[in-house]
Amino acid sequence: MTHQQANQTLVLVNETSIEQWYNTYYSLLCVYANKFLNDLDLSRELVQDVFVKLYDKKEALSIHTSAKSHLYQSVKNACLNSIKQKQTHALHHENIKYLNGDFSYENDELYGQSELEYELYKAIEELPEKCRDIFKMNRMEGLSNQEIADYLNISKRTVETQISKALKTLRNQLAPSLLKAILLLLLSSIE
Amino acid sequence: MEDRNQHINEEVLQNVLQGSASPAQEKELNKWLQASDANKALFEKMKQIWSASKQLNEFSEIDVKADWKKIQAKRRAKKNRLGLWLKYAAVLMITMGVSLIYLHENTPGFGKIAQTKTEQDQGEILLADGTKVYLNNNSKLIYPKEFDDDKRLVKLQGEAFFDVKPNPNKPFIIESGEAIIKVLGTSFNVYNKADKSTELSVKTGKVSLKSQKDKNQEVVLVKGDVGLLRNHKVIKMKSKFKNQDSWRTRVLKFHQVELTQVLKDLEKHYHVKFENRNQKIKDLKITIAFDNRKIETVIHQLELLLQVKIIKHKNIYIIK
Repeated sequence: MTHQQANQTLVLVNETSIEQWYNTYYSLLCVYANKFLNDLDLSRELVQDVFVKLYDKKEALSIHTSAKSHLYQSVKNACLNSIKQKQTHALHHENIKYLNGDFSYENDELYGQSELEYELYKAIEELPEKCRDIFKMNRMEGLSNQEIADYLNISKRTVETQISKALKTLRNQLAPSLLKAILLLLLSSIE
Repeated sequence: MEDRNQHINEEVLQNVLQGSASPAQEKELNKWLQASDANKALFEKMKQIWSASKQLNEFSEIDVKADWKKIQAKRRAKKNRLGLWLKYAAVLMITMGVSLIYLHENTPGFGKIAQTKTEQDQGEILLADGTKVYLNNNSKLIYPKEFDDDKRLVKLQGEAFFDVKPNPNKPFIIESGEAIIKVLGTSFNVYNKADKSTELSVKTGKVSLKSQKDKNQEVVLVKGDVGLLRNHKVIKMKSKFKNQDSWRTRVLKFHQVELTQVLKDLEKHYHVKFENRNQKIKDLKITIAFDNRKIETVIHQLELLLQVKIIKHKNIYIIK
């Protein structure tokens, strides 16, 4: 089924496109939702439900702009409903204000941050194995360089070299998104 | 050297980010930062990556492939819920169907239950077991087309004569007004009167009569007995009427019957009224029979027999 809008852009919604969108956006949307809900399992269920609805004809026809924008809005709405229903205040309650704002995903700082995080995650997964492991141990497991060296039975120098290599690769890969993120950061600080 | 200032020792960068830099290293970083805006931008990037990478545990927890399967499962579940609605609808249909069947079974005329109603006419009904029921006028019998396994149950309004086929295993039960009449196989007359009392006259066999309101009151009647249910009370009497079912047989037989009783029977049968102004014949007992005779013939016969004159005035036959 297709939906044609006034200026002739077509959003093709079928099983294939839904799967594509899923692979592209699912993790990102889960992490984004989690910034409001602070419950990753709930966030995943919520985003899954958004995708399930995409198979409904009615839902598909309501996509006016882009799939990305539609998904973003749907997830935001679902988060809002979930919070209203549960009347729980997510730990990051300062994020909630973003739910009520009339942001498009381009202006949404939290969404931008989620995007960056996702890009980063993908980039890290693509690092060479040794480099990746060391970087992850340092950043995600919180081990010091010395602890990593001891654990892997290598020199501290090696560990440091690997982390540098990782950072270089990452910043080159993430250049565009990082730039956007920095811009947003700068813009928000001006306000 | 410009070139030199474009690059910073990665180790220094790392240590600063980690917060483990020596004062010398920090100084070196600041120098590098101030060298150009590009360096500043680069450092911001690094800080971003650095802080963001800490958050990436969440991504590791998301099993993208498994969650895709979950989505497909939810789609199926949604379709099944539709099926559940259909199931609910089906249950509703079945319930309605059962209700309709119940109505069908239990409402006369609907299907399994029949009724015969008479007005000016009289009716004759043959029941499923061979029992014959003769309905007098303005009467109604409700009966099943097929009897139950353990009993034969009918409902009567008005008056009917029953000739019940014997069946010891299946008592024949009549609900009439307030009365419940139970028989095995006999012939008898049931008469619901206008005053809501029920009169049961037995021609042959044995019949029990009881009140629906008080089932302890039960009388058993045999040939010649009359049971009367009135004001919730059941009593047994010896029959005065000699010709209970004359309305059916068209035969009126009197053998040494008091004139007053004869006149009463005639009144009932022909729906007429007699007024006896002749004192002489009052206590006479007469023997006479009428076989399907019109009232005019009966009157004439009486005149001959009694040596009297009978005049019809308005709707009353006056015996002079």
